[in-house]
Amino acid sequence: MTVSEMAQALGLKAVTAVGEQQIQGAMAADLISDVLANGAPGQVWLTIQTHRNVAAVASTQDLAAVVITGGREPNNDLIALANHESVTILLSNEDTYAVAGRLYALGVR
Amino acid sequence: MEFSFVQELVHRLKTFQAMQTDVVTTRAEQRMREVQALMRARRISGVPVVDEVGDLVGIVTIEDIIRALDHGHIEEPVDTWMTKDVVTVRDRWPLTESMSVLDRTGYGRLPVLDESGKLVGIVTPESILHSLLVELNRLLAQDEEHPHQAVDRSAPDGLRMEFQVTAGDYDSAGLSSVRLKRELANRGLAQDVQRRVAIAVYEAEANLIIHTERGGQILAVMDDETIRVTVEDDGPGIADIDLAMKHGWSTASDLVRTLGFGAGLGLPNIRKCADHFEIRSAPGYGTRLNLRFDLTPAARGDSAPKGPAGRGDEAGAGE
Ligand SMILES: Nc1ncnc2c1ncn2[C@@H]1O[C@H](COP(=O)(O)OP(=O)(O)OP(=O)(O)O)[C@@H](O)[C@H]1O
Ligand SMILES: [Mg+2]
Repeated sequence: MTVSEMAQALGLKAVTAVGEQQIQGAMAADLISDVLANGAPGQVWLTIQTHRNVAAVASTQDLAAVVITGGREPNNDLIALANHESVTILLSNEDTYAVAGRLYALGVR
Repeated sequence: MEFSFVQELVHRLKTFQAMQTDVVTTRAEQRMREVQALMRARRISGVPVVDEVGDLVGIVTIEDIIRALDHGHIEEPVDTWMTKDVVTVRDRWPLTESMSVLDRTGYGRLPVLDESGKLVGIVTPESILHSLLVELNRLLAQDEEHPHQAVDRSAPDGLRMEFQVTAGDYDSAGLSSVRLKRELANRGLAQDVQRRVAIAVYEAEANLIIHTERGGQILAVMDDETIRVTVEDDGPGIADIDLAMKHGWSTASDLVRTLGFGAGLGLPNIRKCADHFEIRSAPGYGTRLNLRFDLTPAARGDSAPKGPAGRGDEAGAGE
C-alpha cells in the first residue's frame, strides 16, 4: 500500500504533499529516541507529538509518513520543515490505538 | 607531518585537560619560612596563595623566598612577600592559549582558574607534556585498530561540517542531523550509513540541547574511508558514564519528557550506530564523544573502490 492509498483509506487530512511511497510497516511511539532506536525506513509513524523535531526524526529515519493522532494540530514550524525535507504529515481525529488497529486491519504489519 | 600532528593535538585539548589538579596551596597569614619548608618538602618552585573560599590572592615563588631571605624577613607573613598580580589562565581556554602565556611570561607554572575565579589547578610544562603523551597514546591505539586514517584527511571529496548547538533550544533538535544527512545523500552514500550517522548526530544534538549548560559543537569530517564525528560540550559532564550508557537511564526533566525526550535510549543508540564509539566526561568540565563510521565501497555507493591502487585496502576489510 502507498502513503496516499493509506491516507484515503483512513480519511487522513494532509498538511503537506502526500508521497506515493510504498509503506513498509508502522510504529506507534511518542518518545523520540524510541523511534530513532526502533524505527526503520519506509515505516509510518503514529504519534501525538507535534513539534518540529517530528519532521527531523522522520527525515533521519527515512520514514514513509507521520500520522499525528488524537485531533492534534501540528505547529507551522513542523509543516515548514516537513515540506522542505519532503516528509509527509497526515492528521487523524482518532487516537493512536484506533489508527493502529485500522492500519493493521489494512494489512500494514 | 609530525609537527602539524602535534599542533593538532594541542589544538584539540583544553587547559583543564592538561592541568595538575592536586595543587599545594598556602594562606596569606602563613610565615614565609613555612612556605619555604613546604616547597622544599614537595619539591615545587611555586605555591599559590588562596583565601578562605579558595579564591586566588597571590603566589609565592622561589624568587619571593630569596627576596625575603635576603632582607632577613623569612619569618614574616606570606602576605607581605607574595606576588600579588598573578598571571593566570582559565580552565576552559584552549591549551594553545595557555601555552602561549607560559611562553610569553617565561614562568614555570600558571594557576588555572574556573569561571568563578576559583583555583582549580596548575599548568606546568610537565603537566602539558603528560597530557600530550596521554592523548598521543590514545590516538595511536585508535590508529592501530585502523591504520591509515589519522593521516589522510585531504580526500578529494572530503566534507567538513560544523554545528553550534544551543542549550534549551528544543525546537531546533534534529536540524544539524537533517543538514548533515542531506549532504551525505548528495554525495551518494548508501542509505544505511546516512541513517546511522544522522541518528547518532540527532541523539548527540538532543543531548547538547537537553543536558548541557551552554550547548556545544558537533564536527563531522568525511574522507575517503571514514566519517568522524566529534561532539563536545563544556558542562556539566557525566558523573557515572556506565549508568548514563544504560538503556532507560535518564535525568531529563518533566518538561522535556513531554516533548518526547528522556527515554534514556540516546547514548546506547549512538554506540550501536557508530563503528567506533568513545565517550569521555569529567564532571564540572564537560563531555566529549568521538564517533567513527567506516565507509566501505558499498557504503560509499561505489561500484569500484577508488583511490590509488595498492593502498592497503585489505586493512579495512577485515573488521
Ligand atoms: N552531553 C551531556 N552532558 C551531560 N549529561 C549528559 C550528556 N549526555 C547525556 N547525559 C546524561 O546521560 C543520560 C543518558 O543519556 P541518553 O541520551 O542515553 O538519554 P536521555 O537523553 O536522557 O534520553 P533520550 O536520549 O532517550 O531522549 C542523560 O539523561 C543525562 O543524565
Ligand atoms: Mg539523549
